Amino acid sequence: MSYQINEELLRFRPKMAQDKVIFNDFNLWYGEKHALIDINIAVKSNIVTAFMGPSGCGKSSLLRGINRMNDIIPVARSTGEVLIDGKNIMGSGINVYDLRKRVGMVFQRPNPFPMSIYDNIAYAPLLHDVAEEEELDKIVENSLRGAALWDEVKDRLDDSAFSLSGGQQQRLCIARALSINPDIILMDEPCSALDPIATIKIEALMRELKEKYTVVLVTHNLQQAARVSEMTAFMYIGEIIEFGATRDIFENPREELTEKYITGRFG
Amino acid sequence: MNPVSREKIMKRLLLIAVALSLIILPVILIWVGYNGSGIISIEFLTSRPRLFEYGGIYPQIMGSVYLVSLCTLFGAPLGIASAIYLAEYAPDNRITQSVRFFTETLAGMPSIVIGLFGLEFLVFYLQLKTSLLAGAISLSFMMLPWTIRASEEAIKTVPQEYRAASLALGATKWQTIVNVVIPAAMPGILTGVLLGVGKAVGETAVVWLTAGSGLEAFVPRSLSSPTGSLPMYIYLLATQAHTVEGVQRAYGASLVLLIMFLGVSVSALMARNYYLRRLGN
Amino acid sequence: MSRPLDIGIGQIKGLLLKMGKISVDATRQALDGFYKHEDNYAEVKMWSNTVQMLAEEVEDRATELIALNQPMASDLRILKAYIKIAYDLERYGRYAMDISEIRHRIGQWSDIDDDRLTLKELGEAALKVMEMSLKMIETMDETMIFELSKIEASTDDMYFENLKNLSKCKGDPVAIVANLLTIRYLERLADHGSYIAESISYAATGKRISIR
Repeated sequence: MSYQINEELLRFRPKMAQDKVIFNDFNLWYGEKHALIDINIAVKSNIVTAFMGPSGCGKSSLLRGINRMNDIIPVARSTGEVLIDGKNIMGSGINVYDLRKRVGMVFQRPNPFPMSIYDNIAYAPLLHDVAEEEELDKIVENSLRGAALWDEVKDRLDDSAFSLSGGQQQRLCIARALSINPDIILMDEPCSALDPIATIKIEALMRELKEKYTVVLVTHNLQQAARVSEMTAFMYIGEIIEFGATRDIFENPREELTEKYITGRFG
Repeated sequence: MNPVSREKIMKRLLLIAVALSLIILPVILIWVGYNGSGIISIEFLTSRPRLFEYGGIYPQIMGSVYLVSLCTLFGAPLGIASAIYLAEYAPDNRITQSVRFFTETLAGMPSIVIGLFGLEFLVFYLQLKTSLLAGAISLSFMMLPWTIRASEEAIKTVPQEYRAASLALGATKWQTIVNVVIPAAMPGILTGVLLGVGKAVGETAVVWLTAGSGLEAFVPRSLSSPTGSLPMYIYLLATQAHTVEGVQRAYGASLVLLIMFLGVSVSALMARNYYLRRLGN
Repeated sequence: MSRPLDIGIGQIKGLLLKMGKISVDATRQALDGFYKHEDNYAEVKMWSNTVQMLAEEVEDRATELIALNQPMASDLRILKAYIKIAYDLERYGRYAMDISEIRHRIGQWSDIDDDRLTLKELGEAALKVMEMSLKMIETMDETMIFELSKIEASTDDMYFENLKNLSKCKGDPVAIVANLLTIRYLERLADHGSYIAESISYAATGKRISIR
């Protein structure tokens, strides 16, 4: 009998994954404030990548760089490239609305629209004219299943989204993000307004989602980053201080700043 | 005096103040109801005025309804559109601030001034004559600032998260406004519109100068017909009637006006509740 | 500002140093008993039990700190190391007891007169390793591991040398058995010293190195 223990088993090394989103010398300013400085990282597909760091470090701005949501802030301007599947989304020929159809986003607080559960999911497909009436039912069901919410709401799809609990609302928002059939899902502190039980459900969902999607997570909860992500970037005042396998970051960070932050000896 | 007894005295003083202000409203209602209910009859409501202080108030009721409906037709879309622009598109600069200040000022402008403007500009300059159209347009000047202000406020209180969620799904700004923001702001917008309607229903000075004398014996047949209205009728009879019948009719018309006003408020409340329910709150 | 976690880690470190001191003293005492043919088993056993009790306390406290504070990076490494070290120190106490138990169980013997046997040197070397391992716990100075591993390697050599010589020497069989067991225990003591050094090195640098 012989045992073979390979490095992959002992410790996750996401070398198999493809580069999905690549930041090349990406810089972002809000007015005079240099919010992101020379960002050069590659986010891999089919894993969870976490951005963490203290408030105001730029982690959310970096996330919003992937679906160009920084565009809606009038004073924001940027330089450098953001490549998705090798194509620069900052380029001139890019339709930002088409881009956002490929990138689903989940926000800090559950923000379902003031509509029924069904209408929340049907909103985007109807807007983009992608669905016939009967297809729509299928999209709604699949999206809700994808967000592990279908069994809880299938009998009350016409109820207001606000009749759901906070955790269910957040899963509804995930389902809504899935309704546009994206390849990338951005999550901006998705559990910060949820109780521990709801948090566990969302975290379990993230693990499922990465099978089909590239998941990028912004979190200020270190344990959450450690639990759900394979790669972690630690950011501080607009810069990426350290980017690497999550286990390495949390067990043995290379940079002293990272060490200080994750052990709570910061500032 | 020690703080405890001062506390007690202040509490009582405040109670008296609130009692005084709260008592005035029912007193007016009862006063008008008591004096006005005697004259109310089918005949009073369906016939036209005669010999100044006799007859009914049918043309005045219909005149008020026409004026207010037409004024809402002009004022509401314009007001809501302005509110959307101010809340969603206007850059935050000097000009926008001036526009906003101007709107606020317009809301507090004495109605007689608006009436005078309507008279000079609409009635004489644009030659609309003293008519339903001139009256309704002038009334919508009254209504606009209230509608704009309340609607802008309602649109602004729609959580930013809704907009972000919609934009992140690939919606354009206009799609977001139409499909998410306006429905969510609907209760507030309705309140704004009806606040304006309420202003218009009871307005006297403006209709006096632009719509008609108040004692018109006919329901307006066209936009250019002079149009009577309840407030004008009440004003004329209350100040110039010499007989008991005249004063009685002023009270009767006041009661009808009050009921119309109440009708507007109640339907506003119902519409608001309907939308709030639909929004799931 | 010191974090609640720092206080907890400091307390555990104090417990470990106390365990270390008790076990080194107990080992010294057991060896003295061995050289002087005195039965001090009861006393050494008591110390060993004390160390065992403290080891359980360390384990409880470290587990609790991990559960309640969810430490990361160096904090987590230190606590992981401390839990392992508590076991190694417990073994220190146990081997001290084992040494004193020989005299207690198999009775008196007459010493072998053979100067090829270097049990005393081996004993001193093992104690040196143990003391150095305690110094490393105290200072977190991972560089000491190199010197420690040299001495530990010498205890291995001495062990095999003595093993060979004991197998060839003539004398009281009781004495041979007693010597045999003791060198074995001393070699094990030094081994645990090197495990402690490895744990400290991991806690301090995050790199796992093996000197075995």
